[in-house]
Amino acid sequence: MNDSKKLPQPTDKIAEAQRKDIQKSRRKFLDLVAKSGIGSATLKYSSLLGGVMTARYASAADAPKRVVYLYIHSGAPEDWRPSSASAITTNQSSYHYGPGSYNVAPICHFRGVDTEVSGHGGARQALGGDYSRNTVDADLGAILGPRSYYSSIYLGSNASDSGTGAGVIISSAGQPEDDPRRALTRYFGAVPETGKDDTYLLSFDAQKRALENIKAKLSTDEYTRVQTHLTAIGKIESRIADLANASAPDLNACKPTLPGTYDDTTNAAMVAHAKLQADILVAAFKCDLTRVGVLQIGNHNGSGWTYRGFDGHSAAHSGGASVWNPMMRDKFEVPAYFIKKLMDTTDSTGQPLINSTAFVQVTCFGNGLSHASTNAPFLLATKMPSFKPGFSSKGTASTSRDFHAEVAKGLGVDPKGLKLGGATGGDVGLV
Amino acid sequence: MRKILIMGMLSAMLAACSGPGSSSSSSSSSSSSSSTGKTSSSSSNSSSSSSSSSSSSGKTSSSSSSSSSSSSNSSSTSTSGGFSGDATRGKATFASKCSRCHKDDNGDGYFGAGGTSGDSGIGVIDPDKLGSPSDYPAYDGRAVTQLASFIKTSMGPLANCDAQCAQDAAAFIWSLKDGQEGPGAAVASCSNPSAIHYGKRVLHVLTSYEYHNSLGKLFALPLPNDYSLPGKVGLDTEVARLPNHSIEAVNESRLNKYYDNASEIASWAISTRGALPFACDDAVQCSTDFINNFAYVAYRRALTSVEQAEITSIFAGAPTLEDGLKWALRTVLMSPNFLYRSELGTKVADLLKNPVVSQGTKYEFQGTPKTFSTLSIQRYNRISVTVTSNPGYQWTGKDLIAITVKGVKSPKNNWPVLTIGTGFDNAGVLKRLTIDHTSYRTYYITIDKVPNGPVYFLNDASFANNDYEMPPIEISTISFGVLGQSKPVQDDVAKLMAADQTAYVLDPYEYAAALSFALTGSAPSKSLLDAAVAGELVDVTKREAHVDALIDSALGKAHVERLAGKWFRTDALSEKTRNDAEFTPEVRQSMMQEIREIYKHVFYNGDFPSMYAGDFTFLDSTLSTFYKLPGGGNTPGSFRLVSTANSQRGGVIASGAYMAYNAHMDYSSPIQRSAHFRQDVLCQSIPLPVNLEDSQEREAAAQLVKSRVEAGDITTTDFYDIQTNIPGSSCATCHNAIINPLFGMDDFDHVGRLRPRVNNKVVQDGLTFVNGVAVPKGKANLDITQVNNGSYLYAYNIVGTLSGSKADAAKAAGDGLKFNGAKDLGKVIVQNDLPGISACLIEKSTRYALGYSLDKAFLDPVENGRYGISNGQAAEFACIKKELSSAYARAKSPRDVVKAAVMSDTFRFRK
Repeated sequence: MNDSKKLPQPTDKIAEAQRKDIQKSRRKFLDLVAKSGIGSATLKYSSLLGGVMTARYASAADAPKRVVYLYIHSGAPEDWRPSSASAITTNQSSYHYGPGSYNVAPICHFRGVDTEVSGHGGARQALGGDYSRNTVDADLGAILGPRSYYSSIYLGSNASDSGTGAGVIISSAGQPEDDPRRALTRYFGAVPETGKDDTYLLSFDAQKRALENIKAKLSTDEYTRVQTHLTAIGKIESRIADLANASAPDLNACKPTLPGTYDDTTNAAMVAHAKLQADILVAAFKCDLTRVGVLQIGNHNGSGWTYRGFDGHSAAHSGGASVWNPMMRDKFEVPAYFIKKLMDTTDSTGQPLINSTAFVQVTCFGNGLSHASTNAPFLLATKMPSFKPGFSSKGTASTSRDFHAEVAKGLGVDPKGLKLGGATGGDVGLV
Repeated sequence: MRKILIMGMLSAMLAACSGPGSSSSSSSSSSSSSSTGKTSSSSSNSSSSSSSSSSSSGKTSSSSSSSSSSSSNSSSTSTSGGFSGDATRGKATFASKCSRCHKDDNGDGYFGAGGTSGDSGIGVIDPDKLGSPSDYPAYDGRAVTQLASFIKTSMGPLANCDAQCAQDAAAFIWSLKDGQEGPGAAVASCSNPSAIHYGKRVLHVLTSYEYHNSLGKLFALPLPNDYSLPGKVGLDTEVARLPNHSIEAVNESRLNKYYDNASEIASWAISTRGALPFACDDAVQCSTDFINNFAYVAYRRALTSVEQAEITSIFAGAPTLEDGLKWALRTVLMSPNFLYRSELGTKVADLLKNPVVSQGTKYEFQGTPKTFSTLSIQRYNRISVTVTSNPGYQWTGKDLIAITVKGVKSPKNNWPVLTIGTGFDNAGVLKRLTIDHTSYRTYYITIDKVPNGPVYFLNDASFANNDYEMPPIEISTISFGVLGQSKPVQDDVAKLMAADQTAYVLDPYEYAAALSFALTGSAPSKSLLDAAVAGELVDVTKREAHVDALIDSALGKAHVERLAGKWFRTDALSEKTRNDAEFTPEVRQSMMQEIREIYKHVFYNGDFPSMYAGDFTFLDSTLSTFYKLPGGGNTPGSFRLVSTANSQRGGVIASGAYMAYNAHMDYSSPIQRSAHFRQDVLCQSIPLPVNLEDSQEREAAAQLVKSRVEAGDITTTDFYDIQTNIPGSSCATCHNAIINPLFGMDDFDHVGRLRPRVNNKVVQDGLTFVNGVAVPKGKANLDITQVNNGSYLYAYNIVGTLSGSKADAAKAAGDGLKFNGAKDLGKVIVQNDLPGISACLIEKSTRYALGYSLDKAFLDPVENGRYGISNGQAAEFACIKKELSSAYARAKSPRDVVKAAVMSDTFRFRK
């Protein structure tokens, strides 16, 4: 961790906020354990309790754990997965991970997995979900950051270009924010005025009662809708309380600067646009606003950007490899940039964010030209000690759900507690 | 799941069915013309020539066998091996010789038996599960020739079906394959049309549009922002490509935005005089007015006593009145009672037991009240009521005042304000009313303790901007008496009694809200809520009047327009750019509105099919110039009906927006135009591409296209046809008969201009490489053969899932509708009254109004489990679909369909 000495140190406010967060979470966790009468040994070795309780209070660990998912549409050309961290050529689609560009490959695990849906049949398999199951980000938010201001932050770059249905929007946690300026305002804007008293408590109580009344009219299989709303109310309520506290983070200390103008109408502009969104997510991690980030770059049906005379979707299907391959090569600059940014930015402990963050690159099918589901480009980059260190690369018949199960394990979360359809990791081999 | 062929016992059944009718029937017709005159062509390539002849109904028929491509899969009725079955002939043959036993009453392509699956035959045939190895070991149904042989051998002697008859029948059965075994989605039929039918219980989260409109109903001034924008409320979730929050949760991201908006709006409302629909001068009065005039509209119902107490305690507990108002506003604007629109209903039995009471709306006196009439209160003057005054009244501590008043605006444009209070000064305000109506209206005020002093009625000009010119307030009657009971709404008790007592019914408030959201995309007005709770929605005539008023309102019209922009995707055109300087944002905006105007026209004037086949459009000055078509409005945004009888434009398909949306930067997208036509006009679902294998044939096709582009002599349609319709490849599953044969609608360029005509042929400049990019700058005036020679719409009668094999079979059998150009395609589908036209209208209209589909065939993948359609619901929906189809048949009016949907029992009664 020597590189941390070279990096800018966090402000005292951020450090204090995170320290308090950890202490509070630990206290809550230990209270829960004590009340439940469960011995710590039982807790440690019970997969059920381990999956539910330790996962829920994963943030009680000394170091925060974060995960960010970066989706890029349309899979990747066949040459995406390199044979070594150094043997990455200029024309290869994975060029930007290599020594000629950002040189982040030494901490990357490249995988080819099966997304199970070959082509335009949905997008949520990229995050381990489907049309009805939750995607992993939706569940990990509450587990990794029960006291985070935001359970997750979901940004995009042309993510919603071809609609906002479950077939193209990769997360079940909500809709992406495609505009960096709006995202910046949303997450780093002025602190909402809360007032001089506790009247807000009456207001939130009224909302919760109203929800309970509605719940009484619903069938049990719709309770999750109400629960989602209740959780969201609780999140705002606690944020209001925290924002009145001196330990609230200094948002200006983390806030990135945006250029005066930007656009996302060409592939090159979209890369720059997505990098701005990556900056915002990194800043949110730095300020500990959330522990889970998602960045969706395009979608498999999207056509909101152009490349060599084709709209995005047609470039993947009509232009052939001579158009598609370089377009994707350019797009893969974003994950490489993002990983580097995580390596170069410190958290409250003075450590690079990459030491506590699992960066996960995903997609929804293998090869855009052939609509194959197999060999879909998935990647993990991290220096978290719970994952295998260094570089690796392999194709596997395991699924994207297995990949996410492996990532969950590395984050200290029992994948059985997630909605991954029973996936356990297969031979993905990340931990 | 669609069909099955149970061959066991089939011979015996056929023998039983074979009677004089079948034995005496003639052999199949040798004519290739169907009885409906549909085009019949065996050409397998849309660009191939065919000889054609006109049928009596003007449709073309071709018996050409100049097939230039080999059949791409086993479902095709190939002529190889001596097979010459014709599906069109086979259909007639089947009807005459086989249908006594094999019936497909519901037209789903599955021949069921014994009433199951909606069919009344006695012999089951499932075209997707042929063969019966247990009874006929040698017959596994894997080839159409084998099926023909089986029919000839096993059925022929009984049904007088010779070799050609058997081949035709086999071709027909084969053409019904759709990849789904078992009965189709259309199996449910309406067996009890006169009974009460039930819709779905739904809890909607407001969409962005509904949210903004509903906020607007709460305030007396325009909102400070557009709260439907993504930056304010996020993106709507779409289901089946329409905004739909019927299964949406209020997640953290969405709630954060609601919170920010609530804070912003509360600040604005407090700081902006006149924004709130009531004055707020003291906590008690403000709290009361807030509950009755604000929260009542926001929650779309009277508040419960608990909810009233919550609001009151917020006002009472806040350090200042302003803080109280701020948190009361935030509470209501964040409340699930505002953010959701509930169509969950109340159990029928419960509503019968506990009818909705119109709190604050309709009270009754116990005994006879003291009534005084024809009074007038001058500005700043008051009437006081005591025991001895005249009027006078002995207060009991549980009293009711009913006052019927009217006012007129002052010369200074202010409405009078009537303050009702107790005491000798202006304190003790019970109610402050703005008398903003020139006809009499009755207000009720309850008095829950004996007043300390008189009760006064003050023409309070000080609350009307101190208007010294305020006219008097006129009182028709004023009654004082002992408070009786609040009166329940007179509901439709007979219908409630007749309904399933365990089912659910929307109470009057929910009913009013559901109608308003369905027809205007907005919460109901206070007056509609009041009308509902006064029982006006029970009476069919009055209900219909309210429905019409909603449809004809400004919001109703905007709501109608909006559907068209979503339906045909053209609202997304604003985000599309093309490499053409003339294709400005203003042109795009006008094109988008053109589609909306066309649909609005047919919605309010009837004749829905004219949306596809009509010789008209709507143009403003921008589009008149761009299209070079005079007659549009005089200014941008001012649209006028324009005849297109002498143009190849007209309707929503042969329009700028449809064509420019379905295009690329430099050239058109015939694939998108074709695919979206099937999806959006005919409501056909096209199979998704999967695992497209590389092959020498695909590579060869790519090389051919490359050489043609280098030569600059290839049209856009050929550019795509060569690359995609590769015999034997999985690409051909969709491109052989589903998509590419519709390339004949490519007579518009990539920005929606009509392509030029040279020597009466539609032409374009060839695609050629410029800096490695194919652009239309090659050889000039290339003949677009697909347009000029005509193209075909195959599998035209299918609604819902469309399989490649079924379309291939239709193409192989020559069963297609011929057309030349986009406008002609619109006319052809209307002339043939294709079922998809009305099915699509009903599907889109009901989804838009109700939030769910009535048809399993149209379910979005996200609509599974409890959000799907159970068999019980399918049976209920079959009846409402029947009602809607009848409504459509009357005048082919979208308005009639929508009205039928909301007027039906299904709309109010739910399960």
